[in-house]
Amino acid sequence: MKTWIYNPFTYLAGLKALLIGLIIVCLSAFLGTFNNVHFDGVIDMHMGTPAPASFFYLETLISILVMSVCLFISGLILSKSKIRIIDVIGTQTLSKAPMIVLAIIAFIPYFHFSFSPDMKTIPVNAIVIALLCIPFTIWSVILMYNAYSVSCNISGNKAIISFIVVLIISEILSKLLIVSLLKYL
Amino acid sequence: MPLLCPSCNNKLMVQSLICENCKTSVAGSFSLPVLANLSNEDQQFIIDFVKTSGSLKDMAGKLGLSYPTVRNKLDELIQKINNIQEEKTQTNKK
Repeated sequence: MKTWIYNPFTYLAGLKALLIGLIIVCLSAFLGTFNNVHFDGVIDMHMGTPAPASFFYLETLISILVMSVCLFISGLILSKSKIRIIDVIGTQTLSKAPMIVLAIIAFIPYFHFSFSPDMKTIPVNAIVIALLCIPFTIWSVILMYNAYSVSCNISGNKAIISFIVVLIISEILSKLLIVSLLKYL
Repeated sequence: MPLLCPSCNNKLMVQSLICENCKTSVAGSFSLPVLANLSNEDQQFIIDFVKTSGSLKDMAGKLGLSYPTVRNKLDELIQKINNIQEEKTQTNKK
């Protein structure tokens, strides 16, 4: 049971993981359109900014693609195995599954709030939702790391350090791409 | 089959082989073949691999594991076999 929660990639990778992951990710984006929930980064979730419906799907797909490509490049450099990009993309997509819970939580009226214009006070509900996001984000990051470790056959300190470096680079790259996309749309 | 000495943990050698038909016994000091140095689980993996004609995809389906998991297992085995062969080469040189 623990393996299925923290490392389902022992049993599931490649195209199957990609298809299941895409369904969940697209559902998350669809649910996000109702409450302006944006999955606009590798581990990000933000609420409140209205946008065209397509944008909700594109931003999450961009972040997954950027992270997958960067991890694949890292795997090509560091791994001794012959890795397949479909395994990297599939497992990374599936690792976003916990985020759907956040898209569902956003339907609760308590979490519909706005900040004061002077931004001097933070609403309590903002703090509560931020705290709620933490365990699911951590879970998603654990899944992303295990996905990388299994699909690229890298473990130990090499895996941890390269994953952190790629996470930071991917976060920056995906943000730049998403901002450019917003300007275009 | 045990691979390590239960007393000092050193590698075991084969001392005698016997014919069940005529009871002839052949004694000496024979090192185990490379594959016999692997655990039962690893040997079974190799047998399954050969039976699926070397298809990792079929192996994954048969074992109920993902393709990269099976590939990683194979790479681990390759490393183990390389280590055993290197150790044998070193022992023969001595």
